[in-house]
Amino acid sequence: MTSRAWLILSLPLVSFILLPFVPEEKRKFGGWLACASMFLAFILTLKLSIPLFQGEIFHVYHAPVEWIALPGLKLEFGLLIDPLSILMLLVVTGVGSAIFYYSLEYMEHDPGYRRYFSGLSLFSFSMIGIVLSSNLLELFIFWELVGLSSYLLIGHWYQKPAAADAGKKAFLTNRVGDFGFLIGILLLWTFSSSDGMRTLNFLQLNPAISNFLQVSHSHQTWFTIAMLLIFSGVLGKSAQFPLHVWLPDAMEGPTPVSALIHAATMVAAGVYLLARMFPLFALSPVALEVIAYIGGFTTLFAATQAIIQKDIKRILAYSTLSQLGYMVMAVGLGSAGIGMYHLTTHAFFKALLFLSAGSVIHATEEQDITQMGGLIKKMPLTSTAFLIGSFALIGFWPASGFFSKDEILSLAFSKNQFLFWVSVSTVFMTALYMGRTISLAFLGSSKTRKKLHEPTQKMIFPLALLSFFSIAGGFLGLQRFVHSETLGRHAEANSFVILLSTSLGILGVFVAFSFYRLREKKQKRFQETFAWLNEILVRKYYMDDLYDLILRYIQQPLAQFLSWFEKRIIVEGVVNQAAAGFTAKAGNQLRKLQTGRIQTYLSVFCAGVVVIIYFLTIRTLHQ
Amino acid sequence: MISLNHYLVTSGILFAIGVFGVLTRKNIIMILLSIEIMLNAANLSFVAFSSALGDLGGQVISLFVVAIAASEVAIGLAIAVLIFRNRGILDPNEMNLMKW
Repeated sequence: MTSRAWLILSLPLVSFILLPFVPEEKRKFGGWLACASMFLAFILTLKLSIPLFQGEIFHVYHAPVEWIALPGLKLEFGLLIDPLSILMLLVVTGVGSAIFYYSLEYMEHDPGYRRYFSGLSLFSFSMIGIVLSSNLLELFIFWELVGLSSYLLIGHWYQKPAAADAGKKAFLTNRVGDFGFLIGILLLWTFSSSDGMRTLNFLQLNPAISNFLQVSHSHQTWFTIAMLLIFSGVLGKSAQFPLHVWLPDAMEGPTPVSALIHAATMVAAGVYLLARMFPLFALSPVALEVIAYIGGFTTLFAATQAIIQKDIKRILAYSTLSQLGYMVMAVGLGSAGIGMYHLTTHAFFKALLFLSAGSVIHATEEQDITQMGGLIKKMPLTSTAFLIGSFALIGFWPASGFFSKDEILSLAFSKNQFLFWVSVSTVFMTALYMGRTISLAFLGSSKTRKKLHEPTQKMIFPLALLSFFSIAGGFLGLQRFVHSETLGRHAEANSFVILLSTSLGILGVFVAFSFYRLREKKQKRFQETFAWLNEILVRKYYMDDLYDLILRYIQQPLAQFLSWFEKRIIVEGVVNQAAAGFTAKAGNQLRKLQTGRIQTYLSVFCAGVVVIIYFLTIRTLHQ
Repeated sequence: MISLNHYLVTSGILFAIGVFGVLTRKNIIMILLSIEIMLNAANLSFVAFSSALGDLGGQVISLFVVAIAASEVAIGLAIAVLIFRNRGILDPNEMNLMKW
């Protein structure tokens, strides 16, 4: 079993290493190679998960490699295989295989075809690494690798300035979060001492920290700080407020990349980390509270912005932010299992939404939904897929989103009324913007004269597969993987909550549909009345402007001051004047000793001899 | 009675005169002469110790010294004469052609 897990980890790495050696004429072969390695990894994962579907629970820890051995710290490079990591592996390799296969056609004519696939392979390798990591440091390394591959793939079309900037923005924003994450890891390391051995291993951290907390009350505060710092890593990777700004821009990358990385798996890595460390987070109620409120805020915050976006991918990006907010909130409310469950169903239907949007973009070469219209007649298969995805996203029965979202809502209902109303109103918003997208892009009259056609089987097949999982995801019994004592129990279904969310969903779709049925004049008048609101939303609640201000008025002067300090004080002052000046002057003075006159040297020599004799005589006299 | 100490003091004075000459004179010939004086001061103490301790070794060494002093003067004077012929100087401080 462990060897299988090692194989799963190394398969994408092998494809990443081999791809650059595939010659350009055989690029097709390279794509298939990457695809095959991913698919093989998926098969192996399925094999691993069979006992779990039969109701067996197992935890395997395998660490053949001793990695860091210092006095007081021992780290192994190992794998941790338990229901949580297997569920995440299923998502990563399953959705990954579908998207690899889809990319074969989507990227067919791209000049950077091999670069694209090696980027995807590197990403898959690092993501699987995160999932299987057995200790925090190992996880952190893969975490950074994931950030790197995300950067590479967002900037895949690097000749486009917007794409290059988006890649940089994503990377830098993540650095901010990861800096806190690293400090958090170091803090946890200092806290965790059991029997004099410090540890970062997930299996040993919990008892070690419990010991630490029992020692004194002030430790609780420090522990909360450490956990919040670790959460800041999640803020960056899972794009929660206030580090969410990179995700909408990341849509500059190719659509399959957006589907895999910026919707289904990588952004979910933060939620996975929360679930992986949930027993620790559970020890700090304050940290959980903060997490819940940030998640809840992000949910509503992002959903409102999705309403006015015109770019179909950006709408989906904001909806991803909003759904990630749900997951984070669920963890904060005390059930990482429910968060993970929503992560799984979300991976299916969000990948589906992105891929069908990609198929639309592939056919129309257009991302603006106001320029589409009437697609349902021209591309019925793609449109059906998109509709299924939207249903799941809004949370209509029997799509998978219904089950996971209602668990979150029920959880919020029983734990925190305020957050419950926030998330319920988000359901309405979600229905509103998805209804708007459907009514603008897929219904109505066509605005393009191009002859549109369905993509070939290579792109349709993944859509069909993901559609199936988006519908059936709620019936597969995936909850069993994550609803355990350690990850928090599942919430009792509440008929009031179900009725409320479903009716709000229907209401939202209805409002959106009827608004776009109105006459143009009425639409115009409505838009003019709420122009100020529109302005705020278009400017993304001035978040980008805020960052701009911070950079311009805080970071920039600070950097300038530091640059001045370094140039004037350090280089010119300490180095040039003090150190170099002293050496030059001392040399100038000492130079005079070297007169070049034999007799001076001789005098010194004789004086030296006299001194030596004098001291020798004194020593003999004393004896 | 002239004791060993008298010889040694005389030898010390002679040596000091030699050192003084080497340090102050600007003429290379005078410097060579001063070196001779120092050598002879050493000879004097060798012979004095030899007779005081009844060991002939000291006298033998002083003969060696005389022989080496003779050859040293021969070479040293030859160099001084050649330099004077070539450059017309006797001051060793001006003999700086080999300095960087």
